[in-house]
Amino acid sequence: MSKWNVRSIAAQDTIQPNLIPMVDIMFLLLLFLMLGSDMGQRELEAVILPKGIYVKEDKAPKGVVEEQRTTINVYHLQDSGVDSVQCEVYAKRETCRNPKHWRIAVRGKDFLAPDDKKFKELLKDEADIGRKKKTDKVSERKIMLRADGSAPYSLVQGVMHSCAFAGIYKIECGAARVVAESAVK
Amino acid sequence: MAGSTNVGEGSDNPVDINIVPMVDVIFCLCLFFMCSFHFKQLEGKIESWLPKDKGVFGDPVSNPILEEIRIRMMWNANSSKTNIQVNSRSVSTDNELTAVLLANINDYKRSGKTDVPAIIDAEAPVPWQSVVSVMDICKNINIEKIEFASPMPVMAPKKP
Repeated sequence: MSKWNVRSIAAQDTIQPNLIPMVDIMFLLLLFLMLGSDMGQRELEAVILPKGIYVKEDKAPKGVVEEQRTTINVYHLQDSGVDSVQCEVYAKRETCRNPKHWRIAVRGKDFLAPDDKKFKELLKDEADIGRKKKTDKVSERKIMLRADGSAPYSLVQGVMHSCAFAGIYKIECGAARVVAESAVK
Repeated sequence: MAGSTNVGEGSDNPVDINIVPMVDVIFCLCLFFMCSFHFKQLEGKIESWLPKDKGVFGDPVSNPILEEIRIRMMWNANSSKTNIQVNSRSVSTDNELTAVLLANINDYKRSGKTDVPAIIDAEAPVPWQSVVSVMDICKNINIEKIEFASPMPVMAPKKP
């Protein structure tokens, strides 16, 4: 028999932590994430927009119904994913001038270059939506051009050129709003 | 025993619901949303309507009178910077560009021309960010007409 009078402690299997507050918090977290996440149709590609100080807010004034528009994204291929590319120039946030690294996307559909035949056909179809008469030369359809700040101008110019050929002249250039230092002061 | 059961549980509540699977599911949902979550960037726009009666829509103008502010943007590969010229005058900073543009506008205003367009004539390798910065400055000083110079399309020779 042991010299020491040690009392054996039986493992307590009846401890029940109160999970209800944790569930409450998790529900709130879930609600926040569900409301905050964008699960809509991916019209907007991941683009690092050029920065501008005096950029107009992309919102229709009160009482005015915003016209329908087409969004054209000019983006650089990511370094991971299905259609990936390793680009050191872009990783340093410099202008990548390799045309194979760039894509033009409209509603999730990629095009290789602004002079792509299918891209021009798509623009023509979009322009037709905004034509009051079929014989009209120009279309009132708006285009939102969301081009990456590191994109070479030639690429953006090509897109504008294709829009002009399709008869679209209302082009809005997407830019990220930054707060001017003077405004902060 | 005190502390072994929570208030409203155990003896009080005859229906003992196992909430552990629910917690697991919520954890998975949280993980999914947290991974796919991204904060929305504050986006704006710069309106730049292309001219309707020029370029691909219009006929070439004979003997054009140059009433324009031409902003040339050239890429310098050595310094990795964009060189800007306003009507052949070089500018190095944004403030200088603003001052030169304002001086040009005032000159035109004095001669009674208020609707002078600013034509951005950028080289192909110039970064889009530089072009947007120039557009931004133009909008700030109320230049509404911003045009983009485009290389003229090669025309087929007319048949005799």
